[in-house]
Amino acid sequence: MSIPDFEKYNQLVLDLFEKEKFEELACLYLEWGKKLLALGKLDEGCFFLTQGYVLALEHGMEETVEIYEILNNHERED
Amino acid sequence: MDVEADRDLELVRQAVEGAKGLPNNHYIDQATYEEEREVLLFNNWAGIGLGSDIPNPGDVSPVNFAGMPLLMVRNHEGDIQVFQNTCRHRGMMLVEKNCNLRGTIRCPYHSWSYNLDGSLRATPHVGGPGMNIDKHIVRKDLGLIKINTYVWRDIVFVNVSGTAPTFREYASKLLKRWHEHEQPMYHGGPVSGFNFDVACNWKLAVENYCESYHLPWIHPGLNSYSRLEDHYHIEEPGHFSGQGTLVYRQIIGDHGETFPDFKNLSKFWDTGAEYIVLFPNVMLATQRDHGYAIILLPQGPERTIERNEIFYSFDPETRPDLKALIEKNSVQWRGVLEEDLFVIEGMQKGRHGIFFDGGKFSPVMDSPTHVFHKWVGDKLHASRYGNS
Repeated sequence: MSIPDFEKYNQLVLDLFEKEKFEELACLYLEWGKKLLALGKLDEGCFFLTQGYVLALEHGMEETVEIYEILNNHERED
Repeated sequence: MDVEADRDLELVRQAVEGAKGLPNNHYIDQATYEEEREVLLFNNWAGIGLGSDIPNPGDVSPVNFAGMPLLMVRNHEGDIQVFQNTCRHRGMMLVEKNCNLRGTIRCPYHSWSYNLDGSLRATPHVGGPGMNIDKHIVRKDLGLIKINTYVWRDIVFVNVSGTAPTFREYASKLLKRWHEHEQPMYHGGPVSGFNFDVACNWKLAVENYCESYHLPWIHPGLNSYSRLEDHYHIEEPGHFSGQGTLVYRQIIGDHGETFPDFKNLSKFWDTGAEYIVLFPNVMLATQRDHGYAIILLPQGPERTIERNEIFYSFDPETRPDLKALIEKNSVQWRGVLEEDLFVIEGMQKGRHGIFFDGGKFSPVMDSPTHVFHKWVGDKLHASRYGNS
């Protein structure tokens, strides 16, 4: 299954990893995940939301709550 | 254990008059080192670091304690807890260097994430991509392994095995002896902490610290005001040993300044000072105006890191006028403590002499050292055969 805008997002992810801008990366994953969910791509969306969730947890970000609720609503997180 | 090793330990455990010291294998042999690691260091309360290593909420500090990866954590409430520094998933070391965490401890391998209380918070993709739960992964059973932890005098003590009594019970006799100093102590800052990397077994540092017999020869500078006859033995078999002096003199600054005393001390401490090893690995000094701790971090049978840390009765941040004196005091103690290094390294070298039999104690002068040897012997014997 193809992922829309994959190349664009993937390059942004790689850049932010390289620059160790993990909070921005968490937000990018959140944006990307929500976009995919809106397109009905549940597994792909939850994959990127999970990536963002872990980084948000690590950095004590308020986005943790939002991501958790999305994942939990889709029975992807306890 | 072989018969010869048992006979050697029996000699160590005798009264000092007839006892011999621990034989060479207790200093140079890997298998004996590993046995002592379990029995002496892990089964008791050992020092591994300082609370001031992790001063802020969210600070974490990895410690290699005799090969055991530990992680000191100050949680967001300010409390200190030590964990095994190993992910419950694939055994990856979690934290490699000191840092501050605003959120969770994330394993750098598959990103299993732990709260600062050790509980497992997230298991990303554990049930497949984007599926973070799996019925076989029970998070409440997979928190970080907690190590029994207690902080006293800013020293972080751990009982790795979890089998020792509480720290306050374990150290009760020392706490009672030094109860007047049960009051706030403040680390002197970066200048008041220095390490020595010493080519010796950790026990040799303990043994040297226990006794005053060596003072006239190794610390001749002390003779002018603290002679051998001014010292006395401190012996609490099974717990600690050391030495005291009756002629402690405060260090004085270039302008006549001195450090403020701890509060409400009895007259004894005007000129009294005590230097005690709380077995197994923390060497302590208590004086009227400051004290120090030396934490021994074994790196193998023949190498030890000594962490030397000086503490005061006051917060140095509040007394910039004493900054120069703090520096002077640190230089002075560093000089004294460095004088011991060639001795403990020399004893280590000497223990490769195949005819050395553990040595003969002076019943009069070496009895605090024998108290430590007997503690070692008793612990090993009890581990091998029970408390017979």
